[in-house]
Amino acid sequence: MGQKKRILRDKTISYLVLSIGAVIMLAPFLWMILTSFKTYAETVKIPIQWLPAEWNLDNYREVLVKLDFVRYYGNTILVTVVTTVLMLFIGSISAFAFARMNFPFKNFLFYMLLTVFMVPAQMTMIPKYLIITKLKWVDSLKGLVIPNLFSVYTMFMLRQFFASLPKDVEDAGKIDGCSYFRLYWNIEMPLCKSSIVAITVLNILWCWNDLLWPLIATSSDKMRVLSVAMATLQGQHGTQYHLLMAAGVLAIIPMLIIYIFGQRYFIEGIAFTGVKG
Amino acid sequence: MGRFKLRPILLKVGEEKMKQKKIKQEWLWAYVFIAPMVIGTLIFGIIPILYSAALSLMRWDGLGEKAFIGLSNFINLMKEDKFRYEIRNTLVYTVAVVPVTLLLSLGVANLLNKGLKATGFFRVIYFLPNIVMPVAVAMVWRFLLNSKVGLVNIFLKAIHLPTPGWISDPKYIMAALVIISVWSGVGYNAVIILAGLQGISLSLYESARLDGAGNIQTFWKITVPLLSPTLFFLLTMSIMNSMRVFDIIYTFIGKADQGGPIIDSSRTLVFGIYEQAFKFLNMGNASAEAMVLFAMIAIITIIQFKFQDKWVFYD
Repeated sequence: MGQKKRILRDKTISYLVLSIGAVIMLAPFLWMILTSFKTYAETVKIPIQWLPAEWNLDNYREVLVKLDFVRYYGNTILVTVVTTVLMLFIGSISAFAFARMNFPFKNFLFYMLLTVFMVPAQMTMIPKYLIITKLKWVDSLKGLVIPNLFSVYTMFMLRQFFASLPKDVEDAGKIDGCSYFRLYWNIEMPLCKSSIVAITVLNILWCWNDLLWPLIATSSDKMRVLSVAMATLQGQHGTQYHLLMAAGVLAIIPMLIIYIFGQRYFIEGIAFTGVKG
Repeated sequence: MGRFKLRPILLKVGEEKMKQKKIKQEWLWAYVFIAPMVIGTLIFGIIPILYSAALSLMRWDGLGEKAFIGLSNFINLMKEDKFRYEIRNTLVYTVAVVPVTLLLSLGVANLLNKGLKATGFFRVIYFLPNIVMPVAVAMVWRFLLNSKVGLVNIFLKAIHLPTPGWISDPKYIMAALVIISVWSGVGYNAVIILAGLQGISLSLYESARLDGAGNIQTFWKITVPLLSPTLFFLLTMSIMNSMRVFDIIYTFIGKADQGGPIIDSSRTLVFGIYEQAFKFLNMGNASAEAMVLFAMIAIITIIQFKFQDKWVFYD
């Protein structure tokens, strides 16, 4: 009886603490959503006004149309899709070669790539900027995408997955006279579908949320992406909370949708790469 | 007679040739497959690293002539107040964020590991800040921490606690940045720790309990050692990431005018690199600062790896 009581008390305390934590985690988001429907006067009222007097989409309309967020949205989607697709292809096909094929200088090349991975990206951003200036890629899709396509991280993770696949799959493929590309594309890639989804989800997230590179690689608003647009908005309209929060909600929503439908991949992907890495 | 013997030998030579051809083919295809990755990394990774090191020894505004000036950039940096603030702020930020985040995550992960029915639900919620653009996180927290209309101070006032000017008082701005980072980092770390906890066999706990070990004892004698590879990984990664903090700093102060005590109290190394290179067009100073950051991260990481056999336990 005492034992049961103790377990019950233990569970109640756990629930209580976790719930308080959950409120702290969620409150900023709720406040963001509520504020995005308020007028400016309502956001700075003292005492505080909890709910907007009128629920309408005026702030969203202003952010999307007047502040040009429609374009930034388009740019961000374009950059994210192109980057993640090419990144996965380049990363996975090299991962396949390193895991499954033999060739001279294999280890040397592999460790060379890993060494580059160890160096923080902030170290390379100035020369990278100088390169895209030389190539006249500033303010273009090319400049935003190409320097970021070579994800050693993606390659390294997928190499681990390819290497863990049973070898006889490959032998069966070879006997059938499969070409190496078909072996990669038709046989091995489908076998690690869930790892690919997990890593792609992480890449999408990283690409969508990144600030530093697009900040450097764009100067006009032609190819501006959401993160840069929001930081700029914060600088120019720092106290227009109703507009800032509407912009914030808009920037978050796509990742939120992916998260809700794919949270298994997010969390498992991160837990896996974390533990294995 | 000779003919009859020659046939199998010829066949064998042919086979050998075929094999050779196959190996050559494998090499060729492998190089084709890795070419984009290797060439891309060469252009956008290796060359920039070397170029960055070279630039740190030059004076250059990004357009005109480059001039070799030896270690002058580094000496100039040492003389600048800004650079000292950047080092100080980066270290203070890291020293505050990393342990607080890890301890809180350890607590959350332990609660999540109790087999409660709502574990999945809590895990999803705690992880949420991780998927949100750091710029948006900084934006909403800037509002929440506003000294007058921010929710945090309204709440503090209601329970009769002091209400500091989180983002207007240079004494508190770093605390504000730390709070924001801890808030966004706990979920990520907790998820990874939870995965580690779930890998620990329950029978270990049972036998410890049979031997009369208490909760605290099992935590230190079983949980921590078995979790130590995960904790080591998280510690290394968190320190590295904290040393490179930029997005929230830029969202807070990036568009503000130069100078001012608020900016001095929140500028970090990466912010300094960005400012030197892209605001002042001083590529030499910026590259020198990037080298300093790299050296700091490298030294800290090497120290961590040196000390890992003191506490990290691999089975």
